[in-house]
Amino acid sequence: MKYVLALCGLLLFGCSSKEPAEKPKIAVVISTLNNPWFVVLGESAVKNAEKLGYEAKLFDSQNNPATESDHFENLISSGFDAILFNPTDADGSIANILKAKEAGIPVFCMDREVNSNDAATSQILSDNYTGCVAIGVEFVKQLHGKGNYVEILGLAGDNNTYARSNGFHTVVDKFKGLKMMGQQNGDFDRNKAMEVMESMMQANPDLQGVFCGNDAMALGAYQAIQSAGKSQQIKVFGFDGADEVVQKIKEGKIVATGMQYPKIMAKTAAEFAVEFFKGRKDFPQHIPVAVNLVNAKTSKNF
Amino acid sequence: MKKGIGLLILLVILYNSVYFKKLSERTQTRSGKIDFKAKIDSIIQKGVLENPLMTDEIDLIKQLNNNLTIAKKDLGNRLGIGESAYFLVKGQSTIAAITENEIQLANGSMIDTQFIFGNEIRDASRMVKLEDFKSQKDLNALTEALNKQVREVIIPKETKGLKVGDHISYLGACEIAPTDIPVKALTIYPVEIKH
Repeated sequence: MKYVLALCGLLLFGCSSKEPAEKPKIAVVISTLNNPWFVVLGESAVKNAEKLGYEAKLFDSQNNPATESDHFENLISSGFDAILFNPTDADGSIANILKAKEAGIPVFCMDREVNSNDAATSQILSDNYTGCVAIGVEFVKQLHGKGNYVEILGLAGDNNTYARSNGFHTVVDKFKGLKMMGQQNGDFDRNKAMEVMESMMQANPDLQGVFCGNDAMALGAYQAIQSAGKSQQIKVFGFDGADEVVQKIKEGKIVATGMQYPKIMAKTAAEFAVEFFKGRKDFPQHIPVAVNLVNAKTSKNF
Repeated sequence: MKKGIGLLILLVILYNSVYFKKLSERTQTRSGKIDFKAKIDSIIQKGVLENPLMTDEIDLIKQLNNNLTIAKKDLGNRLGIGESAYFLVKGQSTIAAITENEIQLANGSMIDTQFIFGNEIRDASRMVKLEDFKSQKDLNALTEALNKQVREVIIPKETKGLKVGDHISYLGACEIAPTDIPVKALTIYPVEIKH
């Protein structure tokens, strides 16, 4: 009889992975911490979760879907209760989200979108499209609707790459006087963008503008343009709102960028996780976060 | 002979292994083609032209400068998170200058007739909800279809023949951010211009 009671006791209390009073744990999984922008995103998410009274831990996927998958397996088995997630791949990361979903763990995507409308609990994303529509308008105005230009895209397979390019082209393609001479991937990397810009300038000596899918690439492109002595000829446009680029806009070296708000995305994701713990289950699938145009006129506000 | 067949098989395999697609084709496939005509007509008619939130320009500027937070709550709207908001506005003035891009008004405001690409009309109408869209691409596609209708169909007809000195009435949408305060004049994205 004693053994039966002990067994019942074990079944009732022993199998629970958590003490009833234990606070939920939040995992913050970031695509890469090798980029300052994502460090801000990840650290802000952790700080906000902690500020709201929850335990939070940061995981670095090192831009590697396999590492990201390992993180998900570990944090599901370790009893985390919510995941604030910056995916490595728009398609490849869906399986990881579904694993968490199956385990009853909500996943809130930050900044990078996945190609599924029902995997994540919600996706809090920069309004890349509208931000680049504004860049496109500025581009047309600055080039007076005519001239040759090139585009340096981000990563193939990344939704932000396409959303930014689409927003930009929604405007620029309406102006027949603007001719795109080349379009290449710079992988969101400063050095690669510098090399790409060098080769595109060699192939097209008569360029008037370059649109880069992020500010790291805008800085790389500007470096190449400056080395070629063409900084008065080719206007550079970026996206992100990096401090260095905002400074270069103030100095008149880069024309414009789109200011993103990683801290707001991280804060919203952390607040959503807490709302989920408190019983909210209905979240919009996508929450766009505004991107503001930074140019010579507005740079004093940033 | 064997080598030739082997080479042929290798070429067939290689040919079927790699596909090249234009970026525009890729994004078009992803977003699909949705017919937004009924929704656009409804946004323009009910969301803008007949919307009781449509505010006279002088009154709107007064309310914005008086208390932006209250003005945003009572009259403004924005989908998602951001500091600025979009408002419906109507007014009357005389054309001080006119180009293919814009109409400069005697009252200091400006009507942008060319760069109608943003979220001003969509959000100010309060007719679009995030919950109605499972994908960002579909929401963006609606925005562009709405803007295109206004920019390429409605406004060119209504601005035809306009010249400096003409007295016009207009209605449309504008964006106001906290950094715009105090507001002295507006940049208006029009939906209707009448001479």
